[in-house]
Amino acid sequence: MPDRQVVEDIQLLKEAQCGNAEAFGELYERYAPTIYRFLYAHLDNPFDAEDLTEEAFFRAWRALPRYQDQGVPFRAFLFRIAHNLMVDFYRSDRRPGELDPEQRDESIGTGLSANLEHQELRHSMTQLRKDYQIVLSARFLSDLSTEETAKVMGRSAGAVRVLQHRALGALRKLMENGKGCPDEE
Amino acid sequence: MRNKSVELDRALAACLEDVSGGRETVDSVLKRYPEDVAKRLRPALEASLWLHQRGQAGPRPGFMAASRKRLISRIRQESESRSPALLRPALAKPWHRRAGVQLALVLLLVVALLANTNSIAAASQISFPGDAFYPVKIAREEIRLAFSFTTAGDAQLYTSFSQRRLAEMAALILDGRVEYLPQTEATFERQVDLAVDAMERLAASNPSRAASLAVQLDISVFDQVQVLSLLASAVPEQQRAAIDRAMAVSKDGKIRIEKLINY
Repeated sequence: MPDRQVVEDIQLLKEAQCGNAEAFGELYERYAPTIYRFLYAHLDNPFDAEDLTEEAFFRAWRALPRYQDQGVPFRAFLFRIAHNLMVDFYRSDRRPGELDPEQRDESIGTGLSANLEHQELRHSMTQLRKDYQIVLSARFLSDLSTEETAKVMGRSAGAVRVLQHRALGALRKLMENGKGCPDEE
Repeated sequence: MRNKSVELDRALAACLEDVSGGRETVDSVLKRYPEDVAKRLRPALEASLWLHQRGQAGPRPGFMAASRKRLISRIRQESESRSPALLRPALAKPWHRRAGVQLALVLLLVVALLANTNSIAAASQISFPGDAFYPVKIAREEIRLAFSFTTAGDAQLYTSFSQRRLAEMAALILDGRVEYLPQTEATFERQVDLAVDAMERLAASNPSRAASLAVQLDISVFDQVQVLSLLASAVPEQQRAAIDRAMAVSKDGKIRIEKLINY
């Protein structure tokens, strides 16, 4: 990340912590797409991912006064909230992936190839352990650093490196066995 | 061992960047590394590339703009309908609950201060920085100053207006709209300075009038210092600097006024 952006982020964060909602909106614009990619990797439909992305930022806003005390980079702080939200979502009564009729119509128009790629991704991810899924989505879909991923998962950077190595190995094995992609089965 | 895993991690990130950016192929990028490293990197690189290529979908077009708007509106609604987001979590802690009580005391003191020196009517028609009618309030103050033709009148008006700024600062903190705090504090500083400047000019031309007015002003500035020290102990750390500056100006003003009393 360029230094200038880090400086801008710090400034925006300070303004947001002083109650400036527009400054927080700017941070939303910067980080929502990566949070969305992280969440969507664990969900079957894009609408849930969109809802949870927005909710993650709303919760982050509420938690902003506590942010400095935690000593976690802002991106990792956001991802930790998104991760907790996703866990809550899975625990809730609503079945993940369930679309209402209006969403289903809209979903058809969101691009067939993107949907197929997402189905392939989900098909593989669901065959992996939960912590493998999290490390892979944080590192390779949202481009978090090893250190940031460690903060999100509450582990050491070394432990994350080991986990990542094993998770990639497990994914590669699925690909070799043709279980990674539905069209290869 | 640790260094090796860090190096492998870095090599994987570099390869992934070059291949996904279209600058290299998997085969060409792996040629950079010794055979044993390349052998270990290949499966990890292929798996991470596979993931990367399938996980780049973004939200639907138009979602970002609509969602940002919705988010800001939710934040503003929450800030208006509840106690401020900035103070609410803080108030959950015992120390901060004490600070909350102090803030309430500050507000009571500010109202008492306004009642002493100006009028409750002025307090009741208060609008705050950021409100639609705030510029009207400031314009009315400017008009009142324009129609003040005596130095004593100027000193009284500047003192009265600085007390309004102080009331606004307390209310902004309680309301969580602290983005307006620096600007309000800067106006407070200027008005306190102008009030004391006017008093010093008056002392040069009419020492006895200045001395009697200085007694009243001294009480007002004393009240300001009390309010500010309560505010300083109750505000979050980020707002402390503004309150400290205001307190320094008030204390300096008090010293200058006391000199006029003994003039």
